Amino acid sequence: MTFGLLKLNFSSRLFLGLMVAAICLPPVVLAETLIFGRGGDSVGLDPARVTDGESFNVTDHIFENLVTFVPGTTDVTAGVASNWEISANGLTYTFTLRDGIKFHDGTPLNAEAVVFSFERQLNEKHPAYAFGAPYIYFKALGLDTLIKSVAAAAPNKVVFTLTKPEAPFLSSLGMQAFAIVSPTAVNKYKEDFARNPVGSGPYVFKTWVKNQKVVLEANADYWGEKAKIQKLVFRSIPDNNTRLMEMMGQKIHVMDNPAPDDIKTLKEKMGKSIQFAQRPGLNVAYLALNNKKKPFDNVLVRQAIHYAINKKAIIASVYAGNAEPAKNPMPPTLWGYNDDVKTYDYNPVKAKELLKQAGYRDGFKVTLWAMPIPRPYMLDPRKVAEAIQGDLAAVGIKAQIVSYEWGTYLDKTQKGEHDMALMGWTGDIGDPDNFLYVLLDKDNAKVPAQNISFYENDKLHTILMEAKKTTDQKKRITLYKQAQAIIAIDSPMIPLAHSLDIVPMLTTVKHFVIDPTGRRQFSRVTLE
Amino acid sequence: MFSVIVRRIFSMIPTLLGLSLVVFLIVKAIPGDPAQLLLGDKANAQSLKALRTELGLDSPIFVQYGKFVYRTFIEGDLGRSIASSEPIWDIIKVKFPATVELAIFATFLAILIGIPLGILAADRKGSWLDSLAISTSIFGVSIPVFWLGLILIWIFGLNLGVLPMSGRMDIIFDYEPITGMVLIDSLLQSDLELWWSSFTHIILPGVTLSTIPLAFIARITRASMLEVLKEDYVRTARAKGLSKIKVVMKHALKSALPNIVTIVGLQLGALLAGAMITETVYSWPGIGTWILSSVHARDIPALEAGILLVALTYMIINLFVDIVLMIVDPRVRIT
Repeated sequence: MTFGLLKLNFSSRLFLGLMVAAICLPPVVLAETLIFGRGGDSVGLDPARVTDGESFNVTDHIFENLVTFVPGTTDVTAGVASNWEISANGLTYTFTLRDGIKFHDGTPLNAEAVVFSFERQLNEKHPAYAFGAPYIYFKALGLDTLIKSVAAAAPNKVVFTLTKPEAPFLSSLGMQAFAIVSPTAVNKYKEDFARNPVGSGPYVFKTWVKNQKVVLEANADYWGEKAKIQKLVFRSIPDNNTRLMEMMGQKIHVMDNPAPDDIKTLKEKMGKSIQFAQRPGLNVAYLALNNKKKPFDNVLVRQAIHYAINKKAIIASVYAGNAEPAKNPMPPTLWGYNDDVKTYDYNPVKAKELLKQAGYRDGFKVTLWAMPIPRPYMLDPRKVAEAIQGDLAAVGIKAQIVSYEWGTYLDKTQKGEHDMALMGWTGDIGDPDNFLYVLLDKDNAKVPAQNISFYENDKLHTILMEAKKTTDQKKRITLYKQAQAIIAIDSPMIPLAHSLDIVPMLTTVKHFVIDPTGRRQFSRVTLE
Repeated sequence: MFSVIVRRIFSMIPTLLGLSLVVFLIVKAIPGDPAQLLLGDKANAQSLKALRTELGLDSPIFVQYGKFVYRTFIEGDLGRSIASSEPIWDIIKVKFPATVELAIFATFLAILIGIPLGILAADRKGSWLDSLAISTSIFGVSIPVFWLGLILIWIFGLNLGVLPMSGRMDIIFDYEPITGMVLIDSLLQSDLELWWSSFTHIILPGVTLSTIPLAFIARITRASMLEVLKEDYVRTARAKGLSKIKVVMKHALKSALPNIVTIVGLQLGALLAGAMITETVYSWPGIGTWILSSVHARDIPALEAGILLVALTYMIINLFVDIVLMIVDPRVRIT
């Protein structure tokens, strides 16, 4: 037998070998295919129309923006626009487009296409407006009132005119919802563009079997660094346990939304064949102290509470370790983060001392509001509240835990009915303005307030407004660092944790960079 | 018989119209504004109003109902989904065949095992086999479906690795639907690999989904058979010296059949309404998960169409059961 086989020529042996392999091996996934197992299907693939992560994760591979972010950071960098100029008054943005970029359908990506992509969202009378309406993200970020006009100055130049200076505008342009779409395809497919997306990105849309899979193929004509993996498959596996088992069975390469327990299971059962990418998400969980109410109008009391709370213990127990303790109201993955602010390491003795100084030697009674439902930044608010309650009791503060149905909770906290309330924030864009201004500026301390600490500091307000107006990035970084220093000393709220974004994947997956805004990008990923 | 069927079909029209009103009102009564849900936490009064106008939610309720009836029944247009903007008909075209395929497979399994089990149990009343049948059926109705589903995936998918864990077919297949039922389409396209892939994928959800109808079918078969086996004519048949199989299969089963057909029809109807839990556990893209997600999104047009579809399916199954009953039971034909 063996002798006979040896006599065969090379190609026959190869053929025979392949035949044997084909019979013996179960149908394994091709090496050039990456399967991403996620919790739900995309809603639609017209980036301007959708708001959910499952849609954006797909469109992010198909489409591109004028600007984008350096992988793994929130730093703005060139996208399909190679450079841009901002007028001194901060009202005019002129983008110069790269030459020769074409959409997947061959349409040139020029100034006309950029104007089309924005006009259809901005102008209700635009012929393509109805195809993707109601453009929720565009309106939620206020671009409908911020952008006065968008026009083509030359075939490769686009000019945006704003109604007021707003530096975070540049970051906003990098969000998936404001991607540049092929005008030819939008006009051809109309409402059904959401099922036939055509962009200019590293991947081309192939098929979408609803609630099963979205398949993308590498764009051979891509202008930039071409994708390494030929085929990307986004599989929908809604049940958490099923998704976990698919990962354990190595039927998917990357798993989305693991539960805290799953991480432990995966580590135990898969050992060396699994790896985890993790980093703090673009979020913060915090305890708002109502600065309008006694005794939280006293900075000593606010600082005392900050010292009294054991953040590390809360993270170890309630978050199962899947979070980082917070010291600023914005996550460390965001540019402009100040690592040198005043810190409040757990110190009940110091807390008691400060309370004594403030005239509350015997403590006081307060209400501690806890959210009724899990949020991405806090999976078990009730348990966090109980832990805080215990910490406060140790320094003589009696906190009574209060909870309402979620809608009511939001409504009442926005009106300032609470003493202390647990809350959190997930950033819309990678800009400190989206955290500091939203959560702590006096502009947002009016009912219905997003600054539910009702903190009003004129000095902080001046800094934040200055940072909004100036377009000099270095100056903005300095201003936001100053702002965080002020906040840390004043301690208007207690930043508790930045929950970690954890992505389990097979060890064969290389070069995956976890993104601070939570998007899943596979364009640079390779498979071993 | 033909005239009866025609009459029954026509009588479905007013039922469907009445039902449309009920469905419309129920969907309207679900608290939560779709515009608010679409806009999220960041909605303001102005954008809300604009969106409500765009979705046609601001016209008087009877106008909305009139438009709905006209659009659905006269124009035959189910509208577009609020959540995804897709034409609802396109969604149904994909999802309903998936549910039908799974439901028929599960019912088939339930009949295949349930009826013989019921017959055997009745024939050997009080024996261990009877106890086994009874406990199987109690087990079948009481076992939580999500648990059974996960356990089956764990055993056959993860540990033994003999069956796929979820989905409808291997991801390597680019499948072009004809009927939308992969087991049939793959044969029509003479793609045996696809057939095998979809067959292995349907086994676990099919078994999971079949437990409840199996239990009902086995119990009803047993009970009807017990009743029939006591009848004089069965005794006579036995006394004539006919073989046991002949007595049971030809004389007894025939009389017990109407009850069994009725229960099979009811169970099939229930399965066709979509099995939300089974579909979710196995990532099966059927009508059940779609209706559930439409409730979450307050996707009014999708819900209206989805519920009407389920109701219509029930009516058709009922009609079908009645026709079958007319065939198997001559007494029904007269009335």
